[in-house]
Amino acid sequence: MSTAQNQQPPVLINEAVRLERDAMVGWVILTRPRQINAINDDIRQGVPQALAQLQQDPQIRVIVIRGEGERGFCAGADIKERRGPESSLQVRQRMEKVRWIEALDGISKPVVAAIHGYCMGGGLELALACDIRFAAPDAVFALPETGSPA
Amino acid sequence: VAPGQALDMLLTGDRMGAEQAQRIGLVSRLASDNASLLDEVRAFAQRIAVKPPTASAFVKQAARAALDMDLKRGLDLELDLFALLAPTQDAREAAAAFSERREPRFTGE
Repeated sequence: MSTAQNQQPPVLINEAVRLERDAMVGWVILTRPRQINAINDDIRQGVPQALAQLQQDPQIRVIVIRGEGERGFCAGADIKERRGPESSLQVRQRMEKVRWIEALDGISKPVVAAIHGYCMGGGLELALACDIRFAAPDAVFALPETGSPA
Repeated sequence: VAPGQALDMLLTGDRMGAEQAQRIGLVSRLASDNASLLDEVRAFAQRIAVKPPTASAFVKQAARAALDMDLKRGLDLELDLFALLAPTQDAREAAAAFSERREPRFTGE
């Protein structure tokens, strides 16, 4: 089991992603609890960075992804993230650079999603890209994309 | 998750609770209560972490590859990966621990 001496100080990847190492387990934590960990560019860039660090770390054998805060794992894309009007081409080019969920494909270590509360849209996609999903009884899943603004 | 279940969620946007999610195979494990999720996940992750890491990586690789492989090629891959693992130190350690009736200690070598 985990012991205090196996715990290393957390690494702040950016404002939205923190990485913790506890014995042989690496934790990728979404840290936007007030937004139910809604996906913004910090998450799109930070999660692949954290995963890459844990993939390279020989001490780490299993990776867990979780969301901070009481309300949920991840509520999906942050629809408050405002952008100016874009053409289809601009949308395609912008999204192409952050096909972040595909970062999970490059991870050979087992990845577990620890899911509580809301797990919606892109948050559910993230969970589905993990190898194993472990949920709390209060978890709620939905794919509301077709009725959403973006 | 079966395509019909996925399309139901995609087309309706309806919310699904944890027990239903487990019933359709969307999640494989449920915590016994909300407060114990992280403790249970920590113990669960630890159980996988003490297993030989190369074998875990190969199992993951084979299971993912099987999604777009026919049976013959899938069995070929499994045999290749098994042969790669057979001479490793961890494979010897597993056999030794079993015959000595002790817990194995895997190093990834």
